[in-house]
Amino acid sequence: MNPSVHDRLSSVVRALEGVVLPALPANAALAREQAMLSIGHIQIVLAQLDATPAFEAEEVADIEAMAQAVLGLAAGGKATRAAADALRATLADSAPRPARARLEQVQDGIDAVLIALASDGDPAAQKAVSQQVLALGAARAAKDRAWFAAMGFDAGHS
Amino acid sequence: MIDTEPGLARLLEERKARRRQPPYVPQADDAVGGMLEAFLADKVPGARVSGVARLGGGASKEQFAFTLGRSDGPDQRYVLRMDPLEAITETSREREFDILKAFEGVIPVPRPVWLDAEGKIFPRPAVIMELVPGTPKPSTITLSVTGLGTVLGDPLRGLIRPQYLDMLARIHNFDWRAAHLPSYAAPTADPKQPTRWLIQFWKELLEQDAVAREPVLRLATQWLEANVPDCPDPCIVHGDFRTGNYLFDEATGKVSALLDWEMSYIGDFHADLGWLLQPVFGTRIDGVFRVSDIFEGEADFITAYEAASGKTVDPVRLRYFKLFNAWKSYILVSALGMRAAREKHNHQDVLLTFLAATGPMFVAELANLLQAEGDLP
Repeated sequence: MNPSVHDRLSSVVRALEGVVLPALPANAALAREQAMLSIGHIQIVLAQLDATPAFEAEEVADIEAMAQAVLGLAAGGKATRAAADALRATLADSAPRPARARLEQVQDGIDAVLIALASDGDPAAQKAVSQQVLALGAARAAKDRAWFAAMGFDAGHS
Repeated sequence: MIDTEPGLARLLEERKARRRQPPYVPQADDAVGGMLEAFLADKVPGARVSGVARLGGGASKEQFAFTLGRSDGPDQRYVLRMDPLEAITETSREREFDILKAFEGVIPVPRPVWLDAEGKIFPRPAVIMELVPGTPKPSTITLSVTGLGTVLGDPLRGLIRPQYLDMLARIHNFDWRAAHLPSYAAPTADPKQPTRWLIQFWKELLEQDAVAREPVLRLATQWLEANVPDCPDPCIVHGDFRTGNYLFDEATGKVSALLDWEMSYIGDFHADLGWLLQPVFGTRIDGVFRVSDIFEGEADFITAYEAASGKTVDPVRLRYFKLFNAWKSYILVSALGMRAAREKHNHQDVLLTFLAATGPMFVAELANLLQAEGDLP
């Protein structure tokens, strides 16, 4: 049987905790700090591992939904229309690519529309787009905060 | 070059060339000892460097403590702070040296002693300062990433509170016009210049380092540019004033040094207030939010600050700088930090990718603050 990713990463944590960390001199402050951070990092990755593909797929679905919302509201001059057309083409592009690459591709398209709206967008459309982006961005950030709650920074999600 | 403080504009240009360099190799203790002896040879003849030890904590500079033995006096401990290739901040060792010199005797700071501004002896720019005794956190806390969420607890809260306020008030009331700050430029051309310079500096960093184009960040950038407030009374802004960035004696609570001046500049004091009021720099225990784990909520802090400083807090400017600081924080952790880690240009990539997990907190904060403003882009 092949060792699973869980088995392999768990063994790395065991080695760091049981062998590497105790062997570090007490005055090796940065090395000890980084060893402990590495252990924490891997433990959280392990806890998230099985859910990661679904999490990344949802990230893509959410950014595509934001793009659709932006396209439904954006209106303005030449720059806005060109940026919106480019974003529309991006959404129609169904070539297979990793989830993170797709996420960044759509983010780039939305960013271009937001820049164009600021230059020659219809003011009412610009305001409506901003409201939608903020509402959807806040909803997405809430999911991301929950995803990273185990890191221990976020008093609102611990 | 962009419209920001001239010295910082040059810094932003110079960093572009470093992007193409190969991965950064953290400095070994032995190598640092050799560099220190070479650097100090003509400054302290006969000096002996020993006890070189890398320091933990912090998220931006390589830091080493060492002992300097000299023929004309007792041994003394110092700290070397040196830039890696890229980091979670983009700052100048020369400015850090100048501001620490200026504040010697004003508030407790580490005394800066030597500077290698251009990295002539060290591989990168470096500053050497006296090692100050003290701790940034109670000894009961075994691991605290850069002091975030540090719980001082009682009685330290009460012991540190007046010192915290006094330091901040002295910084904001410091007569920078009479001080020797050769690497700083005063934004006095018009009342918006201090904050305009600030926004352009951070916007350029975001443009250079963004690893993803977060839509909320674009809206925040547009809002900050469109709503720059007047700053009629520019003062020194520390830039990273909070619990975790000062040293104290755990037994007495006496503060021995305020650290991390690298992001300081001349600008609007509300920027420091908006920074230290961020939830990430406070604590929440049993439903009580404490600013820097000291003040019971924002109103407690503002009232105490106004009394200590003699300044009046403008709620409009404070709201602006809360938004600015959430934006700046995102740029630090999700742009500069992530870019440095991806390029392998830092000595603590694992910390940078860990800290980047705070990014969504700042996106949420920005979305909430922008939604509360009536004048959206």
